[in-house]
Amino acid sequence: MIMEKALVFSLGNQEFSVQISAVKEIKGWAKATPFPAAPAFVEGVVNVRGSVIPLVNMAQMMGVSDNNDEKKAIIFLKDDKKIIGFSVSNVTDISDIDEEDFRPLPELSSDNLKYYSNGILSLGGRLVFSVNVSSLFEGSLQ
Amino acid sequence: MSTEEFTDDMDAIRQIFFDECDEQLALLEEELTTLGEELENGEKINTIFRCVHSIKGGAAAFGMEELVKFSHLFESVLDLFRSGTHSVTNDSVSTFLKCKDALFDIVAAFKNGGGDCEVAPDTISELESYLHSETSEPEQAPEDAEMDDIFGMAFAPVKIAIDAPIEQNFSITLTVTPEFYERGDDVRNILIALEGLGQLQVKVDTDRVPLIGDIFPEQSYLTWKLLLVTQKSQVDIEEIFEWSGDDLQATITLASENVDDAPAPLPVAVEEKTDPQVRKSVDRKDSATVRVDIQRIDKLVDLIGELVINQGAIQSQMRRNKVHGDSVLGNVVTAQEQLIHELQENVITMRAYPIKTVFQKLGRVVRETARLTEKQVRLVLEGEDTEVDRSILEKLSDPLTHMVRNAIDHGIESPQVRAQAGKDPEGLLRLRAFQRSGRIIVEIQDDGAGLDPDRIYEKAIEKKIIERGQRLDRDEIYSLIFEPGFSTVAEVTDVSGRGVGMDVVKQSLQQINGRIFISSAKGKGTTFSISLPFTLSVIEGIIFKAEGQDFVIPVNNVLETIIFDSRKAFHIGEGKYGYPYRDGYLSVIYASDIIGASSDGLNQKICFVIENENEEKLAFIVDKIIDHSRFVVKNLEDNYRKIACFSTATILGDGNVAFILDVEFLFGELLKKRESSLEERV
Repeated sequence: MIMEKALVFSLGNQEFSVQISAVKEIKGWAKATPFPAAPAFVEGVVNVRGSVIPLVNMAQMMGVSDNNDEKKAIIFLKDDKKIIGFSVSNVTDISDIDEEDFRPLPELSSDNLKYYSNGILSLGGRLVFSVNVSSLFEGSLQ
Repeated sequence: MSTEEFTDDMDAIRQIFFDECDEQLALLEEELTTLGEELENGEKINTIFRCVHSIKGGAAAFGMEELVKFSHLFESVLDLFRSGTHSVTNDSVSTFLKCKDALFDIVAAFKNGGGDCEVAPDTISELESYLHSETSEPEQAPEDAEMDDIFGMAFAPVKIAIDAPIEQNFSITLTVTPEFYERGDDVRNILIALEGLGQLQVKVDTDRVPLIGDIFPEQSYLTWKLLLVTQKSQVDIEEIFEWSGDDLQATITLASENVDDAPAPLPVAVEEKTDPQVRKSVDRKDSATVRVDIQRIDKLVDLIGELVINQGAIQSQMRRNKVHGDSVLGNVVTAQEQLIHELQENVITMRAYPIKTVFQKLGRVVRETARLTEKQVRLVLEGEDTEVDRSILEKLSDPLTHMVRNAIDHGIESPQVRAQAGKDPEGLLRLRAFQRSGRIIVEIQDDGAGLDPDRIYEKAIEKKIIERGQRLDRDEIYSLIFEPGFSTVAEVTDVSGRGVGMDVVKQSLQQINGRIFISSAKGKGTTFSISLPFTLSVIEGIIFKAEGQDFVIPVNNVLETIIFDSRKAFHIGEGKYGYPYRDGYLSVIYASDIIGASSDGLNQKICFVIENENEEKLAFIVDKIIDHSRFVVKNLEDNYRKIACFSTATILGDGNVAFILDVEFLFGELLKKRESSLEERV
């Protein structure tokens, strides 16, 4: 049974996914306007068609090692109120997610990973961390 | 249509009903408040009656029984006043006001989903006493008839005059100008359209047609005289002529009975009816309004904001490509800029509401507070039509409510005290709004005891806000009441001592760029003046560069811009500098410090002399001034959260975001530095 479609992207050489319904827009990476006293994972703010939107380095926020520091894309996610941009290494594809594809995280996963991810998806041999959109928003707005 | 859609539609209709209720209640309040001033006014009673009647009508349609019952009772009583059986006294006005509040509560209860709202029994008995004191009143029909009456009108239109299907005779004269034909139009089209409205008689007046030799083929000589018998209103007829503008010189008059008569000119026919109900509805129509969802207007404001940004982008491209301002392109772009500004101003005024909406709520606050404190207060409203941007108005309600409560609780004395002081036992509270030099001023004036500087001074010492012996002038003492933790009344009262002080009032006003001033005379009263910007969506600012990044500073905080000479800056403590200005010295804040960059100081060329509302000044050092312009304000909290030194941002011509400096933050930094030097001393 197909539950939903998910957007798969990479941070360094690890793949992650978010539910497609939360994705507002995907854009190529652009430099944000930095501001003082921002948390280290906030790159600054960007203008998307007249709205000022914060840009968060997702790898840094989740404490995931981001080997090739080159960011190629920004995924804009929305919740009921806000839009936040997340810079990621690359956007891979859109996949159909089946309920059976879900596996719980291993016990020893870091607290950070447990906070941001609600499980692992195995998509035809690929290992993809499924990311909680609400956790992303909470984390970003700290 | 699916059930869901149907529910949605019903919800929408219900919403419209509640919107209308709010309007009717506001009108009711307005009329009731002024009714107290001129007791004998049949027109006002009529309006009040109609408000209640409209609410009742709608309520019946939605099956809101409590609302129907109560408004019917209220209406019956009002009818006695309308017919002159009773005359209006101060007592009855206060009963009406109570009823209005009760109506308000019932409507609010229905709006929030429930319908269980009990009207205070004494309000009902007060109303009933009016009914019973008039024994021979036929209005007191048996219960059945009453219900019939209510449901009989349940689906009938509530607005009275416009809908009455009376056939009227309109005489219309058409004088056709050559321009009308030049546009390819034809009188026939107009005639066909008119015929659609009712019975049409057409006569052509050929008097002006000259002899054949004198006819100029492109000239038009004909005049049509029409007689239209229709149920439609004059507005409907005028609509048909809208297309042809002035090219078809049409005069429409309401004709007398006789059809064969040549139409006698009756210039203002519609307005001449004498039935007050009809007249009122025509008056209303003159200032016809369209109900538009506020979100649509907000969207418009946003879109125009983007236009302004695009305009900036075009202009910066032109500069880059060295397109001269006098060139054809330059002129077109300048004209476009003016158009956009005008458009922006117009749309922003569309979002403006009269301050009346806030003032009227305060009427209720005044009555409640006066009752609780057992004081007599007369509220006078002035300039209620002054318009303020919705975003500001929303945030104005709470501080004003608090200040009004304060003015009655702490300002106005009890009737006995007032009488002893030789004042009218009834205190006067005046709310006034007006425009002054591009800002909105709201004044809250009471004729109470006035502020007592000595008492405030003592209290501030007690609350450890100041130290004994500190020299303060009177205005400085007054502004102590805005300090957190200050309250002159020892015991917490029911009314204003709710843990919210004037400091919160000041803070919430600051959020909307408001400033507050106090003037007071002991024994004579106090005036609080609030100065507000007209809008929050556009500011005038100076764009400057610091450490390679662009920032904007609001121009109204910049007192002066001077060339910064780093040799004149002198060391006054660890990382602290002073700078000469006029005949004194200012503390220096470097932009590079604020944005957290380490600077070699070589680029620092410009000094902004910045002043805040307390007339404190500081020198703010930046690298370069880029431009002076109007900026569309973008709220950072929309998609993020508050950022310490920048409350808002804007988007520049190149599409990048620039932060707008929060001047209060700079003064906060100043304070922090001052505190750190105090610590050093310890």
